[in-house]
Amino acid sequence: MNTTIDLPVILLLFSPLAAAIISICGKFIPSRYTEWPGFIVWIAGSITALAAAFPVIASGATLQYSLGGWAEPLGISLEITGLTWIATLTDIIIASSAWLCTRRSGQSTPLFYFFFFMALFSLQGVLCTRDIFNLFVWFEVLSLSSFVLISYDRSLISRIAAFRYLLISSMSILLFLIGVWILYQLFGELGLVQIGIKARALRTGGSPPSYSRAAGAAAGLITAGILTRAAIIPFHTWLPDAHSAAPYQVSALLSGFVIKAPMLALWRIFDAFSFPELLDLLIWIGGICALWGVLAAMVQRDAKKLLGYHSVSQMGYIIAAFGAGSRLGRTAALFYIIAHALFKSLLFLSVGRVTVGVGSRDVYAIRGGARRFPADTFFFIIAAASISGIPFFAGFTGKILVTESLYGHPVSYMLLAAGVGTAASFFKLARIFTGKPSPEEPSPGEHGSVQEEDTKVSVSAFIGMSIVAAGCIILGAFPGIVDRGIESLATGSTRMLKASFIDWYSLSHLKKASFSIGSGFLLSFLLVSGPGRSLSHIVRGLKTGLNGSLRLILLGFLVLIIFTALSY
Amino acid sequence: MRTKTDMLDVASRKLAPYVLLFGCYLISYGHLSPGGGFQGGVILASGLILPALGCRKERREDLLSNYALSIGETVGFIFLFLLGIVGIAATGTFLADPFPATVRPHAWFIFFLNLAIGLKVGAGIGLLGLLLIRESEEPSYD
Amino acid sequence: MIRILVIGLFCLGLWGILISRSLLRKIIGLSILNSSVVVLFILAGRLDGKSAPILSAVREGSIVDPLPQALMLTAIVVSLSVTAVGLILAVKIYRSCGSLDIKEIEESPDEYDH
Repeated sequence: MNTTIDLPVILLLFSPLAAAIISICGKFIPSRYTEWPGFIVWIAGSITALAAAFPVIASGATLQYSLGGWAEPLGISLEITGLTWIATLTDIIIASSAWLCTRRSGQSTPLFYFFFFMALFSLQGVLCTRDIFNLFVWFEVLSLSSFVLISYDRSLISRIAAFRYLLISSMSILLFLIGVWILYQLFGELGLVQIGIKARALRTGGSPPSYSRAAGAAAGLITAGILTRAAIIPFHTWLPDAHSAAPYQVSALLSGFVIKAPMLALWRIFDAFSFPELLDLLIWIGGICALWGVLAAMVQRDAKKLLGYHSVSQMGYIIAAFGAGSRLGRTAALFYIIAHALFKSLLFLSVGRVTVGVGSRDVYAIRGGARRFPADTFFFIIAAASISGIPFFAGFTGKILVTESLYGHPVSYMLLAAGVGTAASFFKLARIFTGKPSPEEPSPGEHGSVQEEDTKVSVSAFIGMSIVAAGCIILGAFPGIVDRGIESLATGSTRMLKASFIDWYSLSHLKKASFSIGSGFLLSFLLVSGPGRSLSHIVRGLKTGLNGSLRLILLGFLVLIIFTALSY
Repeated sequence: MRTKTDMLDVASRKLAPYVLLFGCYLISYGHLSPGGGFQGGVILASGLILPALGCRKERREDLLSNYALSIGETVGFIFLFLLGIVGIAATGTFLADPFPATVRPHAWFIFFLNLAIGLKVGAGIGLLGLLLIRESEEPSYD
Repeated sequence: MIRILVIGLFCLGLWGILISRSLLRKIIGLSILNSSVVVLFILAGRLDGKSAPILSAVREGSIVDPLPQALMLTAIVVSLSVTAVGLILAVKIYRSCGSLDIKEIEESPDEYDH
């Protein structure tokens, strides 16, 4: 193999690291001089690297970089593929919006920015790596930064949530590591491409069945470990607590991108392996995940936990589309990853500002936010319209792509039901903004944090949120253009489709969308009524504690491993 | 509430320099015998924690303050990053060996890497241990 | 023989994480689980009767596979950092809650659900 040195890769990877170093110097020099310079270094470096990489990506090739001058298979190399390129672009949009929203809140300390940029650095690493153990290292740096960021406001709930996330993610990544061990014993290689070649040879050639079992078990372990990071049923239990307890800018980054990066890593791994049975199972897992997440979200009382359960549910859409395995399925998954990143982070930012401004996260208690937070109401409407699937917004395009790719499969009906539930819970959440403002009494038990924040939105936060909102609208209003570009990036081909083969605004699509939204509207009245509230209270009480969720995760691992070992 | 005995106090204070010396040995000989940056750094940290654990509070001579260790940690991190950049300047890839192949001994670059990592790890973990010990003595309800 | 050690450590660590009620025992269980995975990887280097992986020593027989050792160095560092963060979180939870027991922590009235 050659030792290619394409500088844009290293520039892309090290811009957030340089920003982190600049931010940490804020401990010794006044932090006025380190906050904006860090941000500008990161943005400038990343955009330059993406721009420099674009001609190569557009022609269908990839950029590679061998660390230390050691070629593969001895060394580790990093790579920017088309998938990496578009994912990094999305990441830059979301992370800069989240950063801009931290400007006037209690979070702008040097240590916070250090961990913020380290999280971005490790996200880049996950997206760029070509080596499976290197992937483990980046995952762990990402999770370490997440622990600190989640518990940053020092409240008891956020520390408990961070601890839960710590135990769950460490246990699952150790099982991932055992999968890597099996692969190393079988194939003696650690690079993704090399493993893929040998795994495919194992599948087709006549090797003893114990080898196939072992390779299947390894695939199961690796997949399950990654699915835990991506918060798929049954490994999702850490997500609602972690994403609701974190400061809202961190939640935006976490829900927006940090749970997608493992999915993209799984994408690359599945490009190496070829395992159609597992993909079929993933469709079912995705469907169950979407439905279960929505059912749990509808009964939530805490606004951010509602959004957290929706993250679980929407990840189900992505996994189901990916599991379809076809060209359309991959396009749908990539499109939905980008769209969900945009509208979920916008949701967290707008709802987060409202909850901090009012001092409570109770959906039943907060009313009348539109008067006090006009800008946030505007962004919330855009984001909620996107996630519910209203035409001309990003979610409409995304849901059509996903349901088309799963046409006729029973899971598509589950996704339709999930769409109804999504619309219902967002009509319920929108009650924060409607009606008259209640007197200044937040309900007891709100998290005791010391964030001070204006109710008037700062200029930088407004700019940040509007960029994300513009993304939501562009993806929704111009589906044809984006569809062609994303299709080629998703499948790695260079020829773009000539014309959009999906009739976006066909009668059946519009009927489905209006059915979902209409029934969701009616369902939301049921949810906020008296019996609805008591039923929700009962369902909420069924959640599992830490021990229960750990055992559930282990059970999920076992089932998945048995399935993959027997079917490889 | 049992106090720490004189024997514990004296023994930990007298042993600490040897532990630190052993840590430095591990860092410097990492390319030849089992050891290296991380392992030596952890031993350095344990040499810093040992007096804090064994001595009584009023007789403790704190080797380094929290602030000094924090600076040491950051300096180690930046030093490591700079070593990688030197690799770029010399041969174009990050963390490449900048020394020409005729230099003897061949392991200069590994030695510098070990040094940087040892400094960073020692300062970092020492800081961690000392913070936990001081927290347990004056608990902060934060 | 040594496989029994690895499996035993793994089960011990899992037992600690899944069944213990104290936060501290969960962290110790995690640390033991990490150690078992480290030993598992080192065994992949096939250690019996071979010499150290230094270039001058190659003349006598074959060398131990150094790659798993390098990988496990990284894994040990990661596990150390995770254990450190876990311990600090546990200390802070203990200061706020007065207890390290997971059932009491989860039922404490600070949970936002009523």
